[in-house]
Formats: sequence, C-alpha cells, structure tokens
Amino acid sequence: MLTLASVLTLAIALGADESASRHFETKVRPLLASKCLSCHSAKAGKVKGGLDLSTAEGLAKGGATGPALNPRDPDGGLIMKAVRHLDGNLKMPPSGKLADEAIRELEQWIRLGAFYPHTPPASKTEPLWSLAPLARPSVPKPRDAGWAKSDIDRFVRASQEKAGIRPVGDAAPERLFRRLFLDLTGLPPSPSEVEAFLGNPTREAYAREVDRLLSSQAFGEKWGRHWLDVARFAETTGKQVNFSYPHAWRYRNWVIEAFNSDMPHGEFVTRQLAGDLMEESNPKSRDANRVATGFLAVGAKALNERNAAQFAMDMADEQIDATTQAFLGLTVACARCHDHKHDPVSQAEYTALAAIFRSTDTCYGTIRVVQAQHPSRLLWLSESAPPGREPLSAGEIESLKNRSLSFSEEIEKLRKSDPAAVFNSLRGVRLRLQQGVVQGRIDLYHDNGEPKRLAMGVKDRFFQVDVPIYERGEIEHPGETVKRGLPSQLGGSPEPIRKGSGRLELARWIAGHPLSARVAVNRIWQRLMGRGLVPGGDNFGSAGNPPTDPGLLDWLCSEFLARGGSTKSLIRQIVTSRAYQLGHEADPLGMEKDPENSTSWRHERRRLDAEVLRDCLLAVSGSLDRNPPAGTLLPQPSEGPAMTPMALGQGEIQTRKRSVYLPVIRDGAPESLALFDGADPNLVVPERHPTTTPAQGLFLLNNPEMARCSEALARKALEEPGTDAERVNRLAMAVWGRPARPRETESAIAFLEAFVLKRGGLPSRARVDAYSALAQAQLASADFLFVP
Amino acid sequence: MLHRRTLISAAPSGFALLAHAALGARDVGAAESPLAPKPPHHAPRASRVIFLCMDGGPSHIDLFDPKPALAKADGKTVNRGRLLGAKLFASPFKAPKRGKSGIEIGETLPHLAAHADKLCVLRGMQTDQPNHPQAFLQMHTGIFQFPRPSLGSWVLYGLGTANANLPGFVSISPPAINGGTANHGSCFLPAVYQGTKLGQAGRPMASARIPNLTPRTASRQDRQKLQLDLIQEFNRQATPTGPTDPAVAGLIDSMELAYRMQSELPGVLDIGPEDAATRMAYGLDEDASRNFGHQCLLARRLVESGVRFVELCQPGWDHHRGIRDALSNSSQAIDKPIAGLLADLDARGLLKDTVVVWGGEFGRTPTSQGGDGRDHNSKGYTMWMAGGGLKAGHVHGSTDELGFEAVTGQMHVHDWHATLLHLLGLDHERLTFRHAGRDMRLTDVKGRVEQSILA
Repeated sequence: MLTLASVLTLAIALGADESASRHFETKVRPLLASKCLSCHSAKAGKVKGGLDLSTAEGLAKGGATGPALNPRDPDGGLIMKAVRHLDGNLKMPPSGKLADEAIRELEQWIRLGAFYPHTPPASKTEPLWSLAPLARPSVPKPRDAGWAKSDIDRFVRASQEKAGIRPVGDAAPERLFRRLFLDLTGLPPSPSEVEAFLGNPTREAYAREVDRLLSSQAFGEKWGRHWLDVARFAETTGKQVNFSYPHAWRYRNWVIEAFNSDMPHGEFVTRQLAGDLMEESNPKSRDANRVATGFLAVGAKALNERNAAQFAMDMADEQIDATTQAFLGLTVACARCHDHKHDPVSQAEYTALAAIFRSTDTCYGTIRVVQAQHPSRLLWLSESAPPGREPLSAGEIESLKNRSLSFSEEIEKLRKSDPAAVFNSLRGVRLRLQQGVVQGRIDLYHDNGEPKRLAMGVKDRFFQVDVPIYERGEIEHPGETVKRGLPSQLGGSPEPIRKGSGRLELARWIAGHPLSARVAVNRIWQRLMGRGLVPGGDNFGSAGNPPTDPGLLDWLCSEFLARGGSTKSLIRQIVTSRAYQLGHEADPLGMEKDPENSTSWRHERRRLDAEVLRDCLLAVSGSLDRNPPAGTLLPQPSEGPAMTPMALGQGEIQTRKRSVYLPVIRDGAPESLALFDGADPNLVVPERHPTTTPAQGLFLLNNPEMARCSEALARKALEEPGTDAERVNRLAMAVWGRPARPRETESAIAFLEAFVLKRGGLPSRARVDAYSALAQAQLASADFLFVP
Repeated sequence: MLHRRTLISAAPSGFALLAHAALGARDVGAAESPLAPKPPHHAPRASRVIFLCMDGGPSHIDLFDPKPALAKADGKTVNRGRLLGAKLFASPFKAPKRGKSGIEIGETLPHLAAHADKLCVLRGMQTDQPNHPQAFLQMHTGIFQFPRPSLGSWVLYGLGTANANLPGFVSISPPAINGGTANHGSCFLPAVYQGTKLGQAGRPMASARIPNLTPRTASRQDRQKLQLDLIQEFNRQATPTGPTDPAVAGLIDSMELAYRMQSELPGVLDIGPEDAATRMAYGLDEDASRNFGHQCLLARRLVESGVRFVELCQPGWDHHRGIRDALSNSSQAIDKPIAGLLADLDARGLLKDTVVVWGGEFGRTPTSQGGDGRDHNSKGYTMWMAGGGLKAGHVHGSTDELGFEAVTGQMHVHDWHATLLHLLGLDHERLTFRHAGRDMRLTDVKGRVEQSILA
C-alpha cells in the first residue's frame, strides 16, 4: 500500500501539471461524485468493499480486494476492470455501465498520472467559520488614511487597497439625500426637503436628517417590510386550499413597531419565538409578546392534508425551517430526512427541535370545511387590544347568522335527497364552501357584534411530546424517540430540556448565538450597501459563501452588540460612513478588477423594491395615504377561504395606503408587486433580486395607475404659475428629487412642443396630456426607478 | 408580418447602448442588440425549441415505459432503500406498440400515438432529487442548490432571437411554486434574456395576458414614440459622463423591447384568425383539452413568428393517489393538443428545425402509494423529444424490468441539456458566462451529448 501511495505522490509531483488537475476537476471529480461516491465515501458514510474514493488517501489505500488502481498499468487496475465490466463479479457502478466517453475520461485520467489533490478544494470537515465566537478585530490602518471618515471606512479602504482598487468620488448631495430617504423610509424626499438640504449640504445637516428619518413612522414601515420578507409573512395559508389569516395583521404591526421602537435584537428574536413564555405583568405588553409569536404561526399550511400526524410534522418542519433560516441563516430543515449534507446538524438534533415545536400549540385559526381539516384555536388578547375592525350591528350579525342557517338548511335538504352529493356534487361542495365563508366571518365577532380580540401565535401544550426519528422523514417509519433539546453541534447545550416545551431555552440560545448577530448585521449591510458581506443569499452554512471581509463583519457585530443590538445605531453608523456615500460611476478599472463590487468601491444603483416603487408613485403624485389601516386590508376577512381579488374579479386591491399594509395573499400577489420582484411569501426571502424586464417597461408605459399618477403630477405643475422651464424643474424636483439639468429641460420643452403639435385639439387639454406624458417619462426613467 | 416588422425595426433605437448590458462596461463599437441572432458554435440541427413541461412528474410506467414484469409481480412487497415494504403496483393501462417503429405508448394518449414515428423516446432519464422544488428547478436551470439562469435564457443568450420585436423566450402558464420565476429567469445573465411570462399555471388561458400590453388609447402610438424617445434621452443622461451603468443600460434595453413588443405581440397572441379545423386539431373544441390546446396553438404561432424558445406547462401530474382517473384526465388534457401541434408543425415545415420536448421533473415508482397512486422517482423516467436533428421513431435507454431505475442509456438532466444545446448548434462547454470569477455553464461541470440519438 505504501508503495502505491508513494507512486501516487510521485505522480502528483511529476505529472500534476495544470492540465491534469483541470482534467481531474472537470471530468473525473464530477464522475466520481455522481457515480461512485454514494457508496465509496467515508464522508457520506458508506465505504463499500472498504474502498473510499472521496480522498486521495482513500484511493491510494485501496479496498478489501486490493489496490484500486495502478498508474503504471495501462489497464489501470481494479477500478478500470470494474468499470469496463471485464469481471463478471466486479461490475461498477452497479446501476449500469458508464458511458464509453466516461470510461475514456478515466483512462485519460490514469494516463495523466491519476492526479488526485490531497485536500479537496472545499473541505467540509473544517469547522464552519460562521459558528466561531465573535471576535472584535482591530481596525485596519489603510495607507490612504485621509479618505476614511469612520472605522467602517478604514476596513473598506483597506480591503480596496488589498485588491488594488480606488473608490469613486462621493455622490452629489442631492443623490445622497434621495438615497438616504429611500433606504431609511422607502419614501422620496419632498421638493421642499430637497431644497432645504441643498441649501446647506453639510455633514451636520445630513446627520440631523439621519436622526429625523430614523425616528419617523415610515422607518418601521420600510424596515419592517424587510423583516416580513424574512418571516415569510402572509395573510393566507397558501398551498392547495388558500384560507385567510384574518388576524395576521397584528404580527405585521408588531414588527413595524419593533423597528420603530428600536427593540434590541436579542429581544426581537426571543419574543418572536417565546414571547408567550416571558414574564410580563402589564396586559398590553403581554399581548404584544404573544402577538410576536405570530412569527411561528403565519407560515404556509396544507389544510387539506388528510393525515393529522403528517400535518403536525409538516408544521413543525416549517417552523424549524423558518426559525433557523430567519435567525441563523442555516437550513436546518435539511436534516428532516437524513443528517445534514453540509452542516453540522444530525437528524436526531433536528428531531429534538421538532419535539420542541410539537410540544407547542400553534394557533392560526381557520375553520373546518371542504378540504380544510385542521382548524386551530387562536390566542385571546386582553380587551385593551385594538379591535382591528369595525363592530357589526345586531342586524348585521343576525343577517350573517341567517345566511349561515339557510345554507345549513339547503345542505340538509341535499343530504336527505342524496347523502353522497353533499360531498361529491359541485352543488354540495359549493354550498358548504359558501357556508364556510359566512361562518368564518361570524367567528370574527362576539354575539353582540364586537370584534373578538384574537391573535395568531403559539403557547405551550400541557403535555410535552417526544418525537421519533422518522426514517427518511417518512411518517410511516418512526424510529427511536428523541427528547426535546438544542442542536449541540451548533453550540446548543447538550442537556435535554426538562420543563415546558423548551422554546424559551431555544429562543435564548438563538438570541445569544454568534450567528444571530452575524446574520442580522449582514442583512442590514446588504440592504444599505447593495451586497452582503456574506455574498450570495444569506447562507451561513458551508454551502454558502465565506464573508468577503470577515474582519468588518465581526467588527460590525461587536459594535451592534455593544449598543445592545440596536438596529437604528448600526444603520446610523453605516449611512454616515463615507463608503455609503459614494457615487455610482462604473469606473473601468473597478469594473475590471471587482465587477461584483465586493469591496464597495462604488455605490451601485438598485431598482426600487416593488413596495417602494408603488409608495413613491403615490407619494410624488400626492395620493399616498400615510395612515396605517385599522387592521387587515384583506377583502372580506374571514377564517374561511381567502376571497382573493382575482377570485372576486377585482384585479388589484384598491387602496392608497403604504404597500406594507397591502394584504399578502399567498400565490396571489398583486400584479404590480409580482412584476417588480416582490418577495414570495412561501419562502424566507432575506434578499431580493431585482430584474429588469420588458414586462416592467410595459407597466411603465401603459399601466393605468402610472397614467393616473402622471396626470396628477401634470395638473399640479400646471396649476402653479411660471414658464415651461420652471415647471419642468418643479417636476424634476418632485420625481427625481433634484433640479433638472439644462439638457433635460431642453429635451423636455422640445418634447412638450412636439407632443402638443401631434395631439392637436383643444390647447388646454393638449397641454395637460403633454405634461402628463412628460411626468410619466420622468417616472419611467432611471433617476426615479433606482435608488441613486 | 414581415413588412411591419421591417418598419418597426427601422425606427431609431437605443441599441448602441444595449450592448453594454451584455458586456458590462467594456467599450463597445458595434451597435448591436444583445438579442440579435448570433452564430452558433457548430452547424445547428434545429433553431428553436418548444418545451412541453409536465409539472408534477408524469408516470413513465403508465405512459412510455410499460413493464410486463410489473404486471406479473403486482402486489408483491419490495425491499429497496426508500421503498422498504412498499407494494408493487401494475399499470392499470395498456401500452400497445404504435406506428412502424412499434414504440409503446400508453392507451391514455391515443392521438399522440399516431405520431409515434416522430418521437425519440428517452427511457433512461435521471435527476438528482425526488422532490418537486429541487427536481423542477434542476430541469430548468441545471442545478437547484444555487440560483442559475434557466434553460431558455441560456438558449436565448447563445443564439439571440430571430424577431427583435417579440420576446425571444416565452413561458406560458408557468407554476408560481417550485422555484417560480427562477424557472424562466435569467439569474446572472443579463435580464434581457429572461423569459416573458404569459398567464399562470392553474389559471385559464382564455384570461392569460401579458399585462399592460395595450397603450391606453390606440391612437396615441405616435405620441408614445415621442415619449419613449424622451425616456431614453433621460436614461442616457442618467450617466452624463463615463461608461454607461449596466443597470441603466438594462433599463434602456427593456423599455425599447417593451415598446416594440406592444406593437407586434398582440397579433401573435390572438388565435382568432385560426380556422375551426385547426382549433379542433388542437383540441380547443373540448373542455378537457381546451387550455393546453390553446397553449400549443400559441406555441406554434410564436415559433412561427420567430420566438426562439417557448415553454408550455401542464400542471397536475403528481399522481400520488387515484392514478387510474388522474392519469387519464391529465392525458386527455394534453393528448389532442400535442398531436395537433406535431401535425401542424410538420405540415408547415417547421418540425424539421424545431425541437419539441416533452417531460416532467421526474417519473414515478413502480410501487403503489395509498393503494392506487405512485410516488416520485428520480432514478429512472421518460422524456421524449421530436423534430430537428433527432432520430425519429427511436427509443433510447431503458429502466430495469420493474421501472425503478435507468439501467441503459442513462441520461441525466445535464446530458439532456447538453444534447439539446448541441442540436441548436451550441457546445455546452463553450456556452459560458463569466460570473463570480467563474465561467458558468448550464451544465456546470457535467453534461454529455448523447450522440446516438442524433439523426
């Protein structure tokens, strides 16, 4: 064996030129991975015939029947014999002979010296970087010391220097000002705010604006929406039967309020997972803590699942998935069927978490009706909780009850004539559904018409449940039972939980986990800077990417925690850094060396999020209603089937309130949000990926709402006295948040003239049309659509 | 059509800037659209694709890969990995030999059976995971672990499109789940290569439309052109100096295409001019097949007008229970439409350079679930292709005698992708896009062109 090992080493030393390595990586490794390693890999847990092909060492060692290959032998040894099916007893892979081409690649591999790198490129055995305790790295000292305005800048500039990149110049004040507004509040600055700032664009004035925006209601509405993406927040169950969650709005409001009150991050985490278990004597705060656990209840649910045990396990799985992705950036739910392929989570540890959630009573409501088998209780809040909806009069309650009764009577009649028809016939199903809708509505009110103070959320069960490890995750194959506990490989205490569900222990462990801070900080950075320090979608497991600047990430985390986990402080620190305030010039050298902008050498333009785009359209045209709604904007809220606008034939939801309050209907997003890459509430969405498509172009050119907003802008511009040039400038201030440049004014005026000429007709009407078209052109252009 | 198209494309456009979208900030001399037709790597056998996507995983055992041994072993218990203790379940359907080729096609697809001699049936298909979201995404993007561009986007990126006034890649009725838009998204490829969605799975085609396609008043077309020019002028001035920002270049590009699409697309999407015989051939006269028939007819109209890649989607193939009725119903929905499409393409001389692909994300188990359904099977299943460059009336590969696993002619999704690109004149190893420091491919580091199925 040793001789073979030395032969291999020799082969590596002598023959391992780049082409052998490339050949191995492109042809042989994939082949081994797809055809051999499922049975011959110690890491995957199977070493059939004693042969481990997952490492150079394993290959060199060979298997029970002898050395696997002999590089000096043109026939290659046992491996080649096996893949060529020369020996009746040794045919590999057992699933069927490899393609001739694959066998030729293996021959070529051996000809090139059977190159096999000693350490696989991305070693899965190394401890995961993201689990390491948080450090407080020292702030680097870039050579270009004068550039930095803050410690963040020192980190950023140092990494740019390492990459040989210079940052572009600072953004013009009007761009920076608009950027700040959009990033902090999701709303544009008004022309008077712009004017005031441009009159005195100092650092102090900027800092004052930062503080003002951070303390506005709009801040929580903007940053709450980010968290709602992560929390897969929706107001319906989704899946095959899409029932409403008419109380989910309380959780939405709690999230907005949590950001506005700058709730410390640790508490933000703990309350959502175990707010019901936290000591609280004040009824209002107790209500709030229970509403916070709505996080665990608002997930998608397959109400038509027939198997109750399956439904319960699916719900626990959904909770594990959402919890670990949202707070830890890990996909622990992968371990439902088998130990996690990449990350240190065993199926037993997964099951211990499942036991915590199975020992929890999830309260989400819904009613039992056609196709919906799993109604649950809801949480009763104190009477001081806002009702969320207008009370019904005695007459209205009466009439609802009568309708329900008349449906019952009809169903009863049908049952008498044909019992099966109640369940099988279209009429039977329709009747029961109609009754369900009405009953689901009645359930929202007390008998006196007063709305019930109900919330979604969780509470502990009276009895705790141990959960078996389901073989391959299949409910039909329960194995050994596991007690409630925390994932110890991820750093949880190995002590089993003795009292209660264990949710509070879980919540506190997560809140204090280094990942909790790293994930939160990374997301805040990503939202402001356009790119996470851990790039590529929030995966902090080994399948994800390592941080581009680990020092900066940990330094920010330590700052974040030192300020009690204050989101507002961290945001303030970032937006007052020079790195945040750069221009967006696509400098050729930077584009060549770091096109991904991982060193933040420029501030990339980002398309407005769907909600921000809608809010800005409404705001600039003067039609935004900034008052939050009393409860939900779901059409016909009910515990029953979601009456989606599509189902009701109404198209878009008619409201001018901020988009964060739009009803979130799973698989029924309003067109305008879906078109501009709104988050899919079936998924935990830590980062959106805006696209630019012709369909959006069509929206900007032809959508009636675009036309309405444009005309409102035009009318306002025409109301005030002044020249065309002054009006063009006013429109630019409203839409772009900056004065028009001379060339833009020139183009706009030429356009107005040509348009009026083409249109003809009544001059006053032609002017309104021309100005509307001008305003729409501004709304459809880059300086409106992008965060500058 | 042609004269109108020429007229529109003669209009001034922002194409000088468009090229930036594809090439980042590098200097570009030639004013060429990123969607302009591009020379393939080698002589193509086909120039367009119609992908009939069967969402849910249709049963190969009951449709294209009949198993006599399974009929004999009906009810026996098997002991294989995941299926420990499951019972074998014979197909309730016959699959007679059809055509000169004698290809076996399930009795639920009688109209398609008449075209047996056009098909190249791939019985050795394999994919990595027996779960819908993963497998569906892998079928469309090659891998499911990371976001990647979709198959149609790669094709459009590789070949451009023949008609600059239409989207080059149209996805009709795609599902909102199982990866949703990623299945027709362009991911890191420039956004101009992403699929244009028409309608949504589960909603009737009659109401499917591309939103906002119609200008508010038809008579305003000429004024809207003025307006578009102004928008593009504003956009160009958004970077008054220096190289164009790729994000802005993408916007300019999309506005241009949107404007041209609204002129030409409505005519193509209107099936009004199709005569009764054609409608009948596509099954538009029957409730069961009307929806997919509408999709198939649109597919023909779109490829005929120069669209490069059209994907259709028929949901509902996830037959865990009651496969007797469910599979019959699903089959009925697609049988006449696909037969109509193949016949029509053939008659119009389009089939010879169009690849028609049929298949779902995986197949189903020979064992039963709930007594009368089948579970997911990623280890062996069937897809078929027909048209340009493919052997016709040909069966490639096989599963074991019960239909569990592909044992000969295995074709992984990567191989299928590689072969499909090959037919279009693209080398899957050379069709790359630089992203995150790597030359990315649809087939990642895998894929093998299956030479033996090429005519």
